[in-house]
Amino acid sequence: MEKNCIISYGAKTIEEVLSAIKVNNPGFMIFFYGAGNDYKKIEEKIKPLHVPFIGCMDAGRLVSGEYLLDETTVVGMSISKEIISMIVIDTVDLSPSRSRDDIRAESRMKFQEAAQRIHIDLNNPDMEKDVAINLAFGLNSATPFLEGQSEAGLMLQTIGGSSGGKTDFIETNVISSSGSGHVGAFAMIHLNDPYKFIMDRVSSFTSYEEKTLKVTKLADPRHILELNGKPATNAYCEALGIPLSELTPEIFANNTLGIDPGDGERLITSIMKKDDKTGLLTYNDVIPGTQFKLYRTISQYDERSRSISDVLKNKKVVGYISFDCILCYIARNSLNEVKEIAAMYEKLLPGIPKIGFGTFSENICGANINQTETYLAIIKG
Amino acid sequence: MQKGVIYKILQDVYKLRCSGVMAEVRQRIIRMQISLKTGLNLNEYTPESMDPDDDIQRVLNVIKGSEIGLEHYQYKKEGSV
Repeated sequence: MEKNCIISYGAKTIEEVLSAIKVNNPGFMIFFYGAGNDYKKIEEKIKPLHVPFIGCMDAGRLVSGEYLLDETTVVGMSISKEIISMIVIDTVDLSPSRSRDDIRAESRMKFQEAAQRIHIDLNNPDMEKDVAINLAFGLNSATPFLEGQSEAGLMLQTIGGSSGGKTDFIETNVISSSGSGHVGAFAMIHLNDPYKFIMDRVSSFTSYEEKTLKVTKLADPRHILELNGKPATNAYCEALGIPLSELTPEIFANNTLGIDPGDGERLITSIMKKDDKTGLLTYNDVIPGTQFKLYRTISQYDERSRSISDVLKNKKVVGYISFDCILCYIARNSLNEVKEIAAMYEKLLPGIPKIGFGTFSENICGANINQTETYLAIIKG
Repeated sequence: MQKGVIYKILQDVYKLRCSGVMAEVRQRIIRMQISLKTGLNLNEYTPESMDPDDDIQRVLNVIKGSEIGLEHYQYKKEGSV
């Protein structure tokens, strides 16, 4: 039955994808496309179908049991109205020229309006059926976009990622049935009976015991000048026991920062690179006084396999949407684990439609994080 | 420094904001929000931990903010709120 309700497919053109993902009474579609695509042309092909949709450029994409790492292919998933009861798509302008306060205020207002339109009580949403999927423009901070949503209704669970692209970080974009470009798009959804959702996050790190790096001086939210009262690079190297001369992208990717809200949860903030002096630039926003723990990478295969199978154990999953950090994509490539991990998803969720993309950051319930996979599983019963 | 204060505040917040259906999910959202806004590792605060005053104030500021909305919350050692 579900096979006619939810279909995912990847191909060289958007036309092929649209032809392959036809479901009865489509209620929602989501797309991810390589950086070689013109997003306006993709949007032009989808809009005439008059089905609510969101999508974005990516840094690689997952479809069923395969990662597509080229810059040309497109993947799509269509979900029927048998699963989607009500939906609102809207966008917030995330242009870098806008102030954070303006973005936060617009995001809060649009989220409130969307909830009103489909009668979701933001103070008391249905925790199993009401959800919002976010795709944020990936070259600006998603934090004020997410903060606005949390201000509108903290308990409405949200999940998603920031659009990706090439690693030159020059171009990325988001598309939707309510606007495109440098926007944050959200799909606020209420699921029909008997469908529900589960969301979670998994990051493949383990903590270095007793190593805390407190943010004591910031230049801006993504630029740490001092940790533990010392130049940031020095404190970071001291904690790792390495000389400054060994600071490389690999060291940053393998030894990351994060905070632990409890119960093993991890909110990862990755270091992008050092500045031209002794500061560190991060991939997402940091607040003064943050008491970072230091984490080192462990096998993506083992951690994902264990975590996802634990969470989805005994659940009848009918669809899976993955928002997976570009750094995780790069790590898989460098470790030659691409096929192995793609096969793991197929083994865990055999024959279940799956779709995902390589993000410039991931989000879950208002938290903007890095080096993590956040995911939404639609389940039946 | 005060012993076990943040642990107690968190228990109060969970009781006030996370009761009923899907209480665990609600707790998770609240925990994430407090960690994000304070930059603190909440797993480190136990009934026995000696909590710095600055950390306590950070947690209080967040729970009294608009998202969590406990603007009238006052910490009491026994049976708060």
